[in-house]
Amino acid sequence: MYPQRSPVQGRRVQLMLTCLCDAFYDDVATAAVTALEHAGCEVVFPAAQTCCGQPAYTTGDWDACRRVVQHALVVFAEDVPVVSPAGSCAAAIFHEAPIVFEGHREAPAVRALANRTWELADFLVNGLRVESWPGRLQARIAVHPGCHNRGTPTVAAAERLLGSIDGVELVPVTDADLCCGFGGVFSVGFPHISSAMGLRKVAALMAAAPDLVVSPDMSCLMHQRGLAEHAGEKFPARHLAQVLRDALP
Amino acid sequence: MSDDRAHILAAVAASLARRPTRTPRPDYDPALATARGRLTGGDLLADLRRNFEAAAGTWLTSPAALAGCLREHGAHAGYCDPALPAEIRAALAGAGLACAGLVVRADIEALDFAVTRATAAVAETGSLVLTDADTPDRLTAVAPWIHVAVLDPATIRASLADMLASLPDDPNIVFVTGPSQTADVEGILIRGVHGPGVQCCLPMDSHRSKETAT
Amino acid sequence: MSTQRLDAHAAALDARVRNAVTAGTLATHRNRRRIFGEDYADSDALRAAGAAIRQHALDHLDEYLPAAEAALVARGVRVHYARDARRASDVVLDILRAAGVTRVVKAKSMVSEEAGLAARLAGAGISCVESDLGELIVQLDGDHPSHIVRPIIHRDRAGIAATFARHGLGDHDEDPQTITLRARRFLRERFFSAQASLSGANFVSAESGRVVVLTNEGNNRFGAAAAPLHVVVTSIDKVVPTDRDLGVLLALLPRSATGQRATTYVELIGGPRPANRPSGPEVVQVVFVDHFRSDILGSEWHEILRCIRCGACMNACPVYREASGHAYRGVYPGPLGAVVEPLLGDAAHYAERVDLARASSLCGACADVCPVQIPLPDLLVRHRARATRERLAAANAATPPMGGYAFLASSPRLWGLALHASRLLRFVPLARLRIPLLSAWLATRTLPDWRGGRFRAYMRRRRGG
Repeated sequence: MYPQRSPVQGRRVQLMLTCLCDAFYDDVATAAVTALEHAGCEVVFPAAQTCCGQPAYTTGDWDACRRVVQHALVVFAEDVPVVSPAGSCAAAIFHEAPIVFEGHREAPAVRALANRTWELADFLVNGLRVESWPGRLQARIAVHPGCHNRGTPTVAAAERLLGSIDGVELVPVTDADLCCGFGGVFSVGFPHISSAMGLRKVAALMAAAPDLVVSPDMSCLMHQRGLAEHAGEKFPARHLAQVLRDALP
Repeated sequence: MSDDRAHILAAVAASLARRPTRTPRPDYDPALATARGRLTGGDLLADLRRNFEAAAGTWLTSPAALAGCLREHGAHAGYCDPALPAEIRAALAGAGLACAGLVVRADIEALDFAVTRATAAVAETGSLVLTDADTPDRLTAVAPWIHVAVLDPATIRASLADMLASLPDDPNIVFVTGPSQTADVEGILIRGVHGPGVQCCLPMDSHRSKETAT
Repeated sequence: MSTQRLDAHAAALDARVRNAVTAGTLATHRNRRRIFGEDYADSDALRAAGAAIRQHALDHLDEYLPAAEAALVARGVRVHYARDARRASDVVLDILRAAGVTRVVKAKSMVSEEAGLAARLAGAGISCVESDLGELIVQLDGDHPSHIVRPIIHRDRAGIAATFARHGLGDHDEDPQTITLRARRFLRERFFSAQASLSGANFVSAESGRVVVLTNEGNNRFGAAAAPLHVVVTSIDKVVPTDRDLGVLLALLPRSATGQRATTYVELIGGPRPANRPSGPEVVQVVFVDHFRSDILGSEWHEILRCIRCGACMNACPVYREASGHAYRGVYPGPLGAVVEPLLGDAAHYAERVDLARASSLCGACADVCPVQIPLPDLLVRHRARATRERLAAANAATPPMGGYAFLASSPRLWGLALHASRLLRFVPLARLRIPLLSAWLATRTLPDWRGGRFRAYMRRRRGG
């Protein structure tokens, strides 16, 4: 459930790094920091953070999930927005964590954290009321929405920001909301289907020969690029935060 | 059986007793379900015609047009409800179409068409409403390739919601929206499966449709 | 590492079947979206009303089920109850035997598939012909439906023509029009000679006792007109509070199922035929089947009972598209099947079937299209949580254990250590390491460069530390 949001007071935010950026995509995280600072934020990075618990949620090990989220409750205890450059991690906190904590003592604390955890584009547009993004980037961009962003304002916010950049042209993608088949642990138990879905997605995204394939979620792009490169194809993936940073004058 | 009934009701009650909250009766406006752009707010007959034809219905404007339509489809013999206006039977006879006022079951398969009265219609969906009260024989109405529903325009409801709020007390109310069809073979739409392959509507005002044979 | 059964089924699937299923589901999925967009400024509001109506009905089933029964009885309909699938077949057999029936025509009833009713009838010497074209073809082939609305979505015209030829319905002809006309003629004979017609119910109104049946083919209209006895076999969760509520559901169902505004026929069956009419059932009987619905009602999956059997979820599901309906091994495929199939049986059945709940990337396309807003992905994960708690080995095949991960992720120091230590993996041939997650990834994808700890170092530098 997308949370009820209170108006954002102040400009201090905590960055949720995400384990993928921690391991592979430091540039996406630095770009997110740059974008938030450009929008006037003071970005705090609680160094004790680890992960959002999503892999444990989706596999069904809810005890493990609770352990991880309990740690996140401590790490992000300060009552300011938590912003993540990944829709899936934000959703792990605001949609999934409340489910695993139903009936638990920490349920109210989890709910409170959920209400102030945002994906980056959603936070910029709907939290900070950024209406357009300055600068310039000459690029035809195909947007991959990412399935965790269904039912949230993220994709509309991302397209709004991207579309507002001078020089950016958003190209249409057939069946744009079709899943790429990563699904985290899904790709382990169902490798054939996961790859088949991914290759279809790559073909759909590349059909209009975009300069960049952009998503609010690096996990999907990692899967798509991995498949494409394994098949000997180039795949110009770029995270939304990187595009926002690159466009800045 | 009453064992099963008691068992099921007890199981249902026990399950619901475990529920912390129960969803209350929702308060919604039935008009929420009415499709936009289907009713122009003007002439219901015109709206019905448009939506009926969009569902592959055949709209007829007179008994003569009916006769012509039947001839075009290669019909020879059929059924017409004797309680319908004589005008209709006259037009059919005039076009050389044999028309029975009563058909026994064994002869139904030989019918090319059946003309019976519609009880009502729904403009929003382009549907005819048939009932046992106004249809002398269900089988005669459903079996032939062509069915013609004679409709009194005064019985047209605007929306499905309106129709559901005014259902007659009848054991067999059927909303008919176009000819029977299937897309089971590769998703290709084919008309004429077990019901009629041609569904017609002939509007006739009430003072005419209640005429008896002369 | 082993993989899951459903994935193996998909990998072995005939390309023709996959293409047929893909074409069929995508077309309907797109039609659905188009028609909702044309007809409603806010289709989510309509879906929310549908969800509330269905959930309210379920939450008060203790009132509405007896009310439906009373309303049916007041209309001259005989009402029976069957606690499970076996009893359902028993009851139907009793009804048919008591009426001396040996020939039946049958319109669609999903719960009768759960009950294996056709086989029971055959075993009792009662011939039962499916009157829906898709179901007829399935019956002729001894096949199983692979979709709840389009039972032969997995078949092509060549195969169907072969079926018809094999069963003496004419020489091999692949023209869909010809196939349909042959079915019309074939069923005519059956309709006229049947002694009873069987159907399911899309809805039963608790207010008026009307039984609602939607078809495009007119098979139920014909069957019920021609036979002196009509038997409705339906599940207890089909009860709808009022006729007014039908308006919302009749707007949602055809659009969600086939992208139509209305099916050709919507029958409101309100009792036996009047005495002065020659056709129509003299007797109408309704069998309300429980078969685990009351259990599900009290469970954490109760929302699945809202389902109005539209099939939109399977049309939207990319996993269904790759694997096809038979991969789900039961009566209900796709997301609906993944949630409900494990629940339609005892604990052993649950353990055998709950692997289906892992066959999803949790993309949420199904929840987006469900006309009654069932939170399907959440219900799937609840199954995964139960399967984990109960340590169901088959269901949990190829699922990485999370204990080690949770341990690391609760300890910032260990986490940091792991990030740094993993840098050494750059010097290791990863493909040779027998780490299941890694091997699974590397089989079809390249891995990005390891950058563990870099961002943290950057933030420390910024702080001046």
